[in-house]
Amino acid sequence: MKAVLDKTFGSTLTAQSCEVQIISRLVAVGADKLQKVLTRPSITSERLASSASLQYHETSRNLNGLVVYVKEKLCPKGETRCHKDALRLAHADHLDIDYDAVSQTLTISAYFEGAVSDLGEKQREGWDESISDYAASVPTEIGILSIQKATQPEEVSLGGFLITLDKDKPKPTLFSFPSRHHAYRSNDKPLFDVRFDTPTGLHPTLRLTFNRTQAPPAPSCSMHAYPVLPSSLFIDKYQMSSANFLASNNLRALRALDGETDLEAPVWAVEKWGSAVLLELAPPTITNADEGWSATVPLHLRYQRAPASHDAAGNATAKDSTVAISIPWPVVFWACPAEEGTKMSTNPFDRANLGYDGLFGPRTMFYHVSPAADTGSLVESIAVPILDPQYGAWIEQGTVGTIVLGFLWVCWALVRPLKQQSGKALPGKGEKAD
Amino acid sequence: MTLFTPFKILSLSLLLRLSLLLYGLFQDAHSPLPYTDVDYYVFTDAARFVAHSASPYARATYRYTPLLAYILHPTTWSPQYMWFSFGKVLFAASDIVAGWLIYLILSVHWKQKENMRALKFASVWLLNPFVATISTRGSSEGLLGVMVIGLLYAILRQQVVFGGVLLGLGVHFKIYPVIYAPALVLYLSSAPQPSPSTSSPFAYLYQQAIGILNRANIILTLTSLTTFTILTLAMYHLEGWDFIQHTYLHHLTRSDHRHNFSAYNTLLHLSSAYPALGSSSFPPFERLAFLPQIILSAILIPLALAKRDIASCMLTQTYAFVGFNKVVTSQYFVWYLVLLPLYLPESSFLRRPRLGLLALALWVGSQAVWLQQGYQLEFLGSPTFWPGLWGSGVGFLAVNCWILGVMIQDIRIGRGEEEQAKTDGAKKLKAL
Repeated sequence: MKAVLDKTFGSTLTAQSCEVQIISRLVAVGADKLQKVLTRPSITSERLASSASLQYHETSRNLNGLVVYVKEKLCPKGETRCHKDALRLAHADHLDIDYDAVSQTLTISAYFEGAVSDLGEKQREGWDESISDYAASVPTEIGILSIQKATQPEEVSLGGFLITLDKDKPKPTLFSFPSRHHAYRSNDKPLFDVRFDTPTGLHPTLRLTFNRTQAPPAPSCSMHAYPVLPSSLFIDKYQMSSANFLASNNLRALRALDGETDLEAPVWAVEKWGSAVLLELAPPTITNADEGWSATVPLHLRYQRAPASHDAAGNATAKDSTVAISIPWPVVFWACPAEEGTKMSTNPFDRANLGYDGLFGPRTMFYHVSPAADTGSLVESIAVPILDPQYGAWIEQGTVGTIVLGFLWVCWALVRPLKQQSGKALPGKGEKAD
Repeated sequence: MTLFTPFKILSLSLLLRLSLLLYGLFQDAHSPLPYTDVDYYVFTDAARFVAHSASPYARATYRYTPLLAYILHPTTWSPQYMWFSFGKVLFAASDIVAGWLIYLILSVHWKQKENMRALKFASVWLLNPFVATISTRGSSEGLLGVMVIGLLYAILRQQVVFGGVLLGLGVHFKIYPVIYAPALVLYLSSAPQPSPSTSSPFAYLYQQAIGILNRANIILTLTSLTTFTILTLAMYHLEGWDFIQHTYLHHLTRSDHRHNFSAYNTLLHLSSAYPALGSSSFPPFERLAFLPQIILSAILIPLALAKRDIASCMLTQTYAFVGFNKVVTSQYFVWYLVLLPLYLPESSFLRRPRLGLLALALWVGSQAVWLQQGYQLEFLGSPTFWPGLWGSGVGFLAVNCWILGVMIQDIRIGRGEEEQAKTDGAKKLKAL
């Protein structure tokens, strides 16, 4: 989902899909627990046949787990080609997995910005790779296509050659199809950057900074951001209902909030994975396109606790009484209505079920704003202060001790003999009252 | 010409609240940081749900009786720019009524020419900017204030039925006024006032037990229980288990340990975050947290002080209850502030200004330290849970215990000649 989508339709493109029959055992997590962790997004576009009805998000630093799973469980024994493909998945720029329960078909679609060698090195120039055939029962199709000028704004047009290995000769091809996702382009490439305002405290502000003011692709478009928050962070929907408050953050409205929305519970008391937020941004009207602007997402932290394991990393965090949490950059896009009757699903490279698409009508086009790529990882981390359990005994004894002493002090005040006390403190008065 | 005439003080207190209310409207309209308290949006959202025949508990964090949402029904009327503030007006008006009752209770304790003195003390509440801000920001504590002062006023005037109704209502609203029940029962009992010369505590207890069963106490018990039961059953009928869960049980099972002034806070946070830590090495003290609080505020303080001075007794009970509570926020201070003017005239904090200033400085100072530590945590992200927030919470409790000790001593000693005037006053009140 963190795809750099404007490059999806770059000058060279390769799409690989390997379809493998599997027994329905993709998820090995206990079903009871899963039901509590998963959330149900408020889908607007019911007609989108493949809309996901459950949602889960977790940041994963790499795809090594998936690679091992594909290699060991899905690849036929002794199929070296499949092994190589599996290894390359680890270097994909984005990867989609689709499982159709009816036909029991698993589709893994991987996108690579450039060629990756068998050793896992990215090639900087050209596209050099050898694709050999799978077992004869599984056809392998290769297309070498480049983007052509489309006649309709919602369409993508591709031209080049297609070949099915061991079947025939390369066939020249030119085809167009309406596409859900487009790169947002203008004369100067607009980019956005994501940072937390410092200090972050317990109410971090996520700042989306745009390097220039952007005109919408069409007048009917609106600009959105889709932050996906782990359960450590939450957004307060009540706070987001104040017009003044929204305006001060350059936001127009909170359009959707699905998942964990509890406003008080600490992170160890919530079960859901987190929440997904669709925010409509309020970009300024253009006066000077070179001027940048920013929108802010006011977030709140749940109380965190030290990790249970006492490994080296756990000890390191315990030392300065903080834990690190991270969130992926939100996707930012203009959502525009497409013409009636547009069938997005005819796109062979269509991507659906990305979380936010289900929150719009089935004929919505997304013009994606590119993240500033020079920042490396599209993940932001913050340090969250925690109560360090190593002081537990002090806290316990100190609290109980003070309360017991305080309690006894008050009890003593209630029962102690008054005469000497009052005689000293209030000469002449106390005795009279007694 | 003096400032302290009832008309002037009431006008001033009205003016103070009116200007804060109008200022609040201005800030809400123009600033991203609203003047209005978050709780007020909770109440009014709940009122809107109720107006649409939905449950007030559809609003997250609504932890009050549905009655409050019903009372605030006018906040849903249009035009909104007028009616939305209805609740704040109601809370501020409750403040003023409470202040007036404080004045009435005080003024009959002194002779007519000393009405000015009563007004001065009533002004501690009426012209208190803290109190006026809390109610104009839309916090409902003012309602509790008027219920508690009304309860005391009714009991002092021997209007036990009215007192019982207010007690039942108060307990239905916020539970904590239940601690006043034992004090009032002791106050209304026919047993003699305890004196230090009583031979043994058992003899004393026996005397009390005999004196408790009288007409006033039976009426008080019946009316308060009836009011509480009717209200609670009615609300249960309306909202079902949600009402019990959110209004009452939540306070027993809450797991949010957001930092607050309570000395227990860090310990509760610790045992919630690291349950394994507690089960092996020490007994679950946090589950016994209510014991010192209830023993002091509902048993020991009433036994020692109810017969001496019911108003000051209620103050010390509330002070102990809030001080030893598992959650303490500054709004709870209103609970005892409303009773403070009734104790101040006999307080050694006023007779000995140095002691008074020291107490005030410690009370404010320990909160200031806490606030500073809280700011470090909340806005700068420094892990001040330990030792900063813990230490200031525990320190605040220590200060509260010391103040409580002084207050208890004051009340036990009494005021000499003022005691006599007060007895006269009580007679006068009954005659009213």
